[in-house]
Amino acid sequence: MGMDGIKVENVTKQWKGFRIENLNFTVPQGYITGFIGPNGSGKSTVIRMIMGVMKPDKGEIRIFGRPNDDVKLKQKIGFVYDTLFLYEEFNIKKAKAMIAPLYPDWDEELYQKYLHKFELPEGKKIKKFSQGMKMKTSLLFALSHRPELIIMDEPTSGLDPVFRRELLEELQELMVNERQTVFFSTHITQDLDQIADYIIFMNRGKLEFQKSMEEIREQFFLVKGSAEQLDSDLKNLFAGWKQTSGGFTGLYAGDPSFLAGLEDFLVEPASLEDIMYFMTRKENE
Amino acid sequence: MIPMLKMDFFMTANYFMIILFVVPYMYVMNISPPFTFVGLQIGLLIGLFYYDQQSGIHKFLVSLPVDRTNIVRARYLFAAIFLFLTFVYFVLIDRLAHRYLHYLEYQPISARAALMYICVSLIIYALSFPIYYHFSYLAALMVQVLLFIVLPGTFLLILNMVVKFKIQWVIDAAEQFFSYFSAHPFLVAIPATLVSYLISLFLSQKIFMKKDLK
Repeated sequence: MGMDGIKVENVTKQWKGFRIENLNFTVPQGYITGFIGPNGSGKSTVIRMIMGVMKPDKGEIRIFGRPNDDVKLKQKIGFVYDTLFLYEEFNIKKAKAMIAPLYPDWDEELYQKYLHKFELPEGKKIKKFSQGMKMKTSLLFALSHRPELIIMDEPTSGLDPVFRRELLEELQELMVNERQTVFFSTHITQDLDQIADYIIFMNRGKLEFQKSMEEIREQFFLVKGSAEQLDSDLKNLFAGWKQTSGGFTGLYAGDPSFLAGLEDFLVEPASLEDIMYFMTRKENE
Repeated sequence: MIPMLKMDFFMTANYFMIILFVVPYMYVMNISPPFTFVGLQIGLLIGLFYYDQQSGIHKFLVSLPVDRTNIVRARYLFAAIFLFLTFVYFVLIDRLAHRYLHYLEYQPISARAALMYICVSLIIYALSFPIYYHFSYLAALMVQVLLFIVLPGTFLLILNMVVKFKIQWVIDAAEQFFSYFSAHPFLVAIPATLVSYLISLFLSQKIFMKKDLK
């Protein structure tokens, strides 16, 4: 892992009966890091704390080694939230007149390129935009000043599959060509299977794990067998399991050599969706 | 700060257009000019914070390379500029109205009246801005309405008690203040209004700096 793009240290936040407690993770610089977790796990709250929209009760957040409330630091960040928080009466032209002067590195050529690519009408009021167009507008402003760090909260929600795929390709291209750091939350884990280098998994306000995709592929497996084979020893072996009349499926997390002894079971690699599903099931408790 | 001011101007462009027609209309209808003027300022206040709340713009703004204090300062500055521009337009229409509409019941705007228009509007801003920065929009609106009912009500109640119980030292002090104020209205009202506006700005900045934006 390289230098830290984002460092979240001992962050605690009490919010509307929900608690994020002593959260620690790092987002490595120059990679794509996926931030996953079920709805209500605290992902958006964490992203808003990173962006300074909300303040932690305790702890510290640093971006490129500097406190996250440093205003100049924000010039290096492009952000996309799950909703476009702009006046609905505005059009893109007016929004740009306000936003562009705030970024010394604003690239008008790049802005025009994305405007054309995303097929966005500059003069149309935002209130007449579809959800996908709003997301594209967010991306337009997030990318046009060549940010070193791109932070996105559910950027693919509301996008049609074609543009979703294009967006993911664009992000990968940015990362490869310009070594930009990308940190984005999503509950569509298939997006991350394709492009992420690292995964941070959060559940109920706590960090479940932070791992590289390579580690995840090496350490997480689905084990399937008949219902009779699922005894308490086996249950204890799994991070999560599910039993039906047809059999059971369990998520194994650990040293794969251990699974070599389980000859009567079917063992296959677990996807991010499998991991999230099994690790957040209430039946696990 | 200029991009923030630009944003507020864009947002109120339609309101400016409405004002262009409303002010002459109110004169033609012979409606009290101070009432119209202060009403326009309150309209701006309620409108701006309504659109802020509806769009969630503060979440966007604090994510940009802008200091939170500058977001608040820009709003205060914009309100003052708006006040100045509407006032200039108001005086212009007032002069024209008194020249051509001979049935008007109200006197032309004098220097004293102008001072009152500006000071009352700025004090309304000064009282209201911190409320809107502290509370959510609907709560702020309710608090503001309550405040504008409770404050004059309390004042009248105190006045009534002072007269009823003949609290002489209060009557003397009030008489002294009002005689000084009528002799030197500019010396009293201008510093008092400016200080209120600055205290209000400082308070709003404090509130907004610590606020979690929902």
